[in-house]
Amino acid sequence: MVSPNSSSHQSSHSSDLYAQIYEEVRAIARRCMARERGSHTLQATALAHEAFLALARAQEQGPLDRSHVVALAARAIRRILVNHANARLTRRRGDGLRGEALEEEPMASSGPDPLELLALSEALEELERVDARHAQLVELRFFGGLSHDEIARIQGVSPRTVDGDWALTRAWLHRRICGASKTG
Amino acid sequence: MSRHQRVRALFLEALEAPTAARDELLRRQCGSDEELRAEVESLIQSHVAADSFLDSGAVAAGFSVAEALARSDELCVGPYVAQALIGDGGSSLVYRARDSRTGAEVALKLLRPGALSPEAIEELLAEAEVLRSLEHPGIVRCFDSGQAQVHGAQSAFLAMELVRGSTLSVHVRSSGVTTRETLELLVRVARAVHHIHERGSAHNDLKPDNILIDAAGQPRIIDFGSARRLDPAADARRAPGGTPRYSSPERRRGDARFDGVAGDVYSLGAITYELLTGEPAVRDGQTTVRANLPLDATRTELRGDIDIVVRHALERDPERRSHSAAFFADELERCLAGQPVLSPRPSVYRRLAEFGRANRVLVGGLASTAVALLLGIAGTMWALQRVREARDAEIQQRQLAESRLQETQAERQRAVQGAVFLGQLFRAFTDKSQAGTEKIEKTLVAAARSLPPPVEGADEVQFALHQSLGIALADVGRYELALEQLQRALERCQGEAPEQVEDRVNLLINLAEIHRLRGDISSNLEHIEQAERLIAQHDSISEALRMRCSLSRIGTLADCGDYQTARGLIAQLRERGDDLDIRSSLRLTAIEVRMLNEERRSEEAIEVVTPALERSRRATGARSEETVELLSLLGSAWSQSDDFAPAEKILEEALEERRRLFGERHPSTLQTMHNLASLRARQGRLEEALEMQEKVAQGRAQLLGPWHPRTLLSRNNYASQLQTAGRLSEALVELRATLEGAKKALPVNHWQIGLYHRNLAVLLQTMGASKEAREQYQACLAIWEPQFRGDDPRLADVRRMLKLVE
Repeated sequence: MVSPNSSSHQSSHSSDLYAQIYEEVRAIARRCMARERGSHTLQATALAHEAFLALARAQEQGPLDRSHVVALAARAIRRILVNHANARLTRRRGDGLRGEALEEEPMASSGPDPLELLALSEALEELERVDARHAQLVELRFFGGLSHDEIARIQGVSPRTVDGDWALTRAWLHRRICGASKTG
Repeated sequence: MSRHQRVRALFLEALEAPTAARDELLRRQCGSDEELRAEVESLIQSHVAADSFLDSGAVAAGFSVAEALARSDELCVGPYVAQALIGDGGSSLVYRARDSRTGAEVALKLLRPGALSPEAIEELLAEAEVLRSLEHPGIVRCFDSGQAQVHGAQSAFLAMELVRGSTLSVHVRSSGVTTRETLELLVRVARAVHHIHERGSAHNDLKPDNILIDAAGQPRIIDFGSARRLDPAADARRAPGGTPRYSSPERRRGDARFDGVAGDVYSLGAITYELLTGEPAVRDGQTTVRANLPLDATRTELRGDIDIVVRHALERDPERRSHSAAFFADELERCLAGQPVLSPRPSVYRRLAEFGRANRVLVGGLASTAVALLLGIAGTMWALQRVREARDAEIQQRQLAESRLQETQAERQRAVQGAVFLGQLFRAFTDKSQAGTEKIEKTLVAAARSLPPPVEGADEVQFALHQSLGIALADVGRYELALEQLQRALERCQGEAPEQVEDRVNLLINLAEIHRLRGDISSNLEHIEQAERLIAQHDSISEALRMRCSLSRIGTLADCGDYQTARGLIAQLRERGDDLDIRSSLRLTAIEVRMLNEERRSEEAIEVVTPALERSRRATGARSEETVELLSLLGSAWSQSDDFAPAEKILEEALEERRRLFGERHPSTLQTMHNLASLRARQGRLEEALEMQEKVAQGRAQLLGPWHPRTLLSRNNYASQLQTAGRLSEALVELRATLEGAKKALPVNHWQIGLYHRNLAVLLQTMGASKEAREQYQACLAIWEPQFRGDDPRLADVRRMLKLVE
């Protein structure tokens, strides 16, 4: 069996591809949340699988730079986590703190506090305007779990540059999120 | 080097330096740029404070997208190595995979990792079992199946033959496939389906996407995920849901007696219908097959009764449906060979009855009967045309055709009578409908769209159909479609016989009235004048029709603000005394009262309307259109004379009656709602008023378009209520927009433009902008003075206010 019209998608833009990957990642995340509360292994498996789907679909659309897919998958994960955090916060505001523990779901329970995540996301948006490479670095490292060597390959810079970028970016984000620490 | 890059360089340099040397370094590098130094220092402090900030990933410790990708690249299941995802079926995924033992490529079906469960595994294995029981060139082969570990979890797999090709719909859509070839493919599909049934199973999810055309051009049925053994003891409701667009009615209902064979046959019919017509047979959970298949291509290529065969497969009642897939295949072959088919040919009246039954829920009893008639008549005309074609082409079955021609000519006679009856029915049900207007509207629109192309020699049928539909569509507020239908009726009614001339006058008046409702005065006048010319030329035209034309003319005069001429004509008609029938007389009074209301002569209005209302109740009933119209006018009059209590009672009653008579969205209903909103505003119940007026404005914008005079009037009232509520700046925005819209959309110097100038002036005056207010008053007078009588109270008002501002 072969999927029909495989050649007709060659003109797809990366935004379409991203939309596709995002939808995939989100769908699995939703299923996982509904099924297994708090199971980290399943979540990792699911995400791994999603990444595979993303890649498989991307390849169906013609030769595709692998690092591009990795970057898109990392972005998808970021968006899912942020959306999820948003949803959790909305619920929290609605119901007060009572019952919150029961609402906890696997994706975010292993990640940071939703408030921190939203603050981070906001800061990242600002950072994107200052320096897009630094913002992507956060995406790849924090959300995609990639090593500096891998990131260096994707961004086409030396690992040393990534090290430097990371130090600066982390400091910048920390200042932006937690405020400037006392002087002197 | 950008500032950010400079910050980065300094920051990194400082970090490398020993802590003690940092201050010195920064002082040296930054020189007098204090800002830069502060920025870098601040970042270094944050760097120290950041500690392990963001060190652990967001997802899970040790998670890496890249690793996941690498790992899933080697998705191995048993001896199969997945290579690419080629299909996504909800709870399962299909990969192109390689058999590591032989190197052969297979299609590997796996459960989604998020959808693993013992039941899902069981279902996949059941699918394998059905597949293995089959052996047919039209069905994909199954090689292997079983349970396996996938990504560390227990799952199941199904290895099948890898079919390279496109789906049936893509294949048919691609250029060069003729109708004949499509039908030949469908014959083979139907034979394969019959094989499934013979082996004791049903596919349960036949659709174009589940049929692939392989490299050799052979159709191959795939995806047996919903397939089940035909077990009479099993509760069929537990059968997994198919695709609604191709599912039989009993299946969509979840009927427990659902039969897999009948269901598959229905799906075959639905697929055939869709491939031939390009339209789905099932839409919104209803079978929407037309009375005639719009088979333009088929008509030229085939002489067979393909439509009868497809309709037989799409019978709602499984008992009456084609009894097997093999029979359906045989019938298609007979069509291809130009032989007579065996499927029963439904008579017009049976089709009517069935359609009526099927759509009773949709449109309510009367409406469904009417629409059924309509479609039945349409079908008759279609049959007539087809028989003609058959005869012209001198096909072998000439005799058969002749006999059918006689049969259809007899039906045609009945069709004309039916269409006339239909017109009455339509009026009846639109007048009496309640909340179902929308559903009826939907049905009428569908009916309008499914009328067949004109048939030579059937003008009278077509005329009756278009006219009935047009009037009914106008009744539910679909003016554009109504105009189109009436225009077509007019084209079919060009003879000089007295009845035809009368029909023509009637149509012209109807067209004029619709244009008036839409506020298109010039088209309205054009049609009235045409009607008047015809009336002048033909003495044979009845008195009632002449009266109708006069009423229409007077209504238009009143609309245009030419009250003097309107009153003159009314007086002329009244002179005829007894000749004037009661309904016409009441309509004349209604126009008179409307004019008095417009002139703010509310006491006179009340005086005139009160006895007329009594007469109307006695003569036409308490809830007739005439009575309700007068009621609504009386309400407005009371409202204007600030007599709120009777006004409220009357307007509420009128609104309710109009909702009942015309439905929520009809212009008349909106009119009364508009008046009630004005009253609420005067009563100080602003919240209610605003809400109601907004609803009217929206309704009108939807019905008539955003720049229609009536829509503008509603926006104007909305603005004035905002003003009353003290929301002056919002009112100003709304009024300015209304005025701008009016200037763009209305004829130059239309009286409404004057009104908006005046209202804007009043608002500006309230807000203390005297200069602009003055300009606006003057603009209003410039438009009104040439049009209104010298003693019109509106003119006096504006002049008085202008003096105040000056």
